[in-house]
Amino acid sequence: MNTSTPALPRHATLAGRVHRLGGEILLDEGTSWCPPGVRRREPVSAYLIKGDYGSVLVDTGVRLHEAEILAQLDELLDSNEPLSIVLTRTEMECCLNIPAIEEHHRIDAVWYTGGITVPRSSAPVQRISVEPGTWREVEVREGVTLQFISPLLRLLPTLWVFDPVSGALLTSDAFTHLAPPGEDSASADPKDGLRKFRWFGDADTRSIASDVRQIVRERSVSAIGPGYGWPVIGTEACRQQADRLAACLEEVGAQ
Amino acid sequence: MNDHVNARHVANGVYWLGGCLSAFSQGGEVHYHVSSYLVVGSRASILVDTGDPAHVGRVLAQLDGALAGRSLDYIFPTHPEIPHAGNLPALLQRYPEARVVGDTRDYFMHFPAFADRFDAKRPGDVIDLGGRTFTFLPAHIRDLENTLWGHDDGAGMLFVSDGFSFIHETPDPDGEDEPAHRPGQCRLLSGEMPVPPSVEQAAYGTGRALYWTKFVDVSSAFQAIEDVLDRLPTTFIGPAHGNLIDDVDGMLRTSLAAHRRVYEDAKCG
Repeated sequence: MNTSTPALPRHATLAGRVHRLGGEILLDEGTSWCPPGVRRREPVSAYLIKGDYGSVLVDTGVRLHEAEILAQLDELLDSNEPLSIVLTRTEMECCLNIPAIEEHHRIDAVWYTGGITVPRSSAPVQRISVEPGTWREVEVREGVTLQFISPLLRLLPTLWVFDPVSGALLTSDAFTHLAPPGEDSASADPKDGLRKFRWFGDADTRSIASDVRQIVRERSVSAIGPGYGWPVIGTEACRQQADRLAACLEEVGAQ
Repeated sequence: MNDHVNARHVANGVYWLGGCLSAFSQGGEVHYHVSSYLVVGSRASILVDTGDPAHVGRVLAQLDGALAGRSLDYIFPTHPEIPHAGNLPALLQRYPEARVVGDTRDYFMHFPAFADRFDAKRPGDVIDLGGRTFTFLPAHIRDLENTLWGHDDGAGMLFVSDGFSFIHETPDPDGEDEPAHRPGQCRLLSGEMPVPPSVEQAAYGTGRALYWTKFVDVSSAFQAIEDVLDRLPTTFIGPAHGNLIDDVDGMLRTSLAAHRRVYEDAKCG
C-alpha cells in the first residue's frame, strides 16, 4: 500500500534561494512510472524560489502531501508574503494543491503552459506558450526572472524552469531516476526515469538527446530538481547526469 | 436532445455528457470538447471519464437527468488527467456507492481521501452491466501510460479517450494546443457536421495534442485498432476531445492519414 511518510516535515535547500518541498511516496507497482521490480521510497517535490519581494512556487506537490506542503510554506514564507505559482505541467501532480494553498497564502498569479486544461485558481491565470526546443525569459515577479524552457523531452506540454541566480534547473518529469542520498549516483540507471516515455523506443530520439545536453551545457546549472525522484547537486554532477541521460535516450531510440 | 444542458442520448443506453471549453483564435471563438459518456445496463451503469472541473455542475446535472433516479455504479477515468479524472471527488461524493475502475495507478496520490474506492482493471477485464458488457482495452493511442480504452457491446461503442480527436476549423499556428471546433458544432455526431473532418483538421489536433506522434510511425497502433474493430463490432467511437464518430470506417482512414501527415511533416522539419 502506498502511504505518505510522516518524515520530511521540513523543506530542504536545493541551491541558493531554491527550496525543495513535498513528501515521499512508496514507489512500487502502484505508481505508473515505477520500473519493474523496484520498491523504494522517493520524494515528490515542488520548489520554492525565494525572492526579495515575494516568492515563486514551482508546482504545488501532490494532494497526498497537502499538509506537508502547507507546513513547509508556513515555515518559508513571511506573513502576507505574496506568492506566484508556476506549473511545469498542468497535470495532477503539479496543480491539485492550488486551492489549499490559496486558503493560506496570498497568490497573485498562476503561470501554466498547455492547452485545454486551465488551472483552477481565484488568482489571475496566465498561459505561457514556448515552442518545444526553445526558451523564454520571464520576470515572474519583481526580483525573480526565470527561464521557461520547453524541452523536447516531454510527453505533454512541459516547462523546465531555470533560475539563473541560484543555478537551479527544475525539470518536472525528467531526471527522475537519481539514487537516494548515500547511494552511488553512478549506479542509477537513466532508463529507470523513462517509463513514462515508452514511445521513445519507436522514435528517432537524437534531437531529444541533443536538446537535453544543450540545455544543461548552455547554462551554469548547479542543481537539478526533478518533480519526483532525488535531485542532482553540483555543476559537474549535473553535466554528467545530463550526458548520461542523453546517451540513454540515444540508446533506447529507434534511429 | 442537443441543448448543452441535458445529456445527449446517442444510442441504446448510451449518453453523451460534458461540454466545451472556449478559446479565441483567428479572431473567433473555438471550442474544445471535454466529453464523458454514460452507459446504462439493466443492472449497473458506468461513466467513462469525469469531464473537466469547469463543467462539474453541468456533468452532475446531466448525470442526474440521464440516470433518472438510478445510482451510478462505476466511474472509469480513462487516465489521471484533469479533463478525464478531475471531477472524481465531486462524483464520488454525489454517488457514495460508486467505485472507480480502470488503471488506477497513481490515484492514491491525487485522491487520497478515496483510496478505498479504487478497483484496478487490466485490458481484457469485463464488467457485466446487465444485458451488456463493458470491456477494458489497451489504449493504442495515448499520452499517459496508465490509460485504458473501453468497449460497450450493447451499443457497439468504443471509448478512445485522447484518440481520434479532431477539429473542424484549424486555428492559427500560435493558437491552442488541443483539438477544437467552432461554436454551433458542439455535441454533434461526426455525420451531422456540415462537412466531414479533413486530414488537415485531424492532423492539426493530433500533432498538437499528442506530441509524440511527431516522432513515431503509428501504423502498428492502427493495425491494433483495426484488430479491435474486427473483434468487437463497433458502430460508434467516442473520443473525449472530438465529435462523437458515427462514420467509423471513414474516420479511421482520416485519422491514420492525419497521424502519417504529422509524422512525415516532422521528419521533413
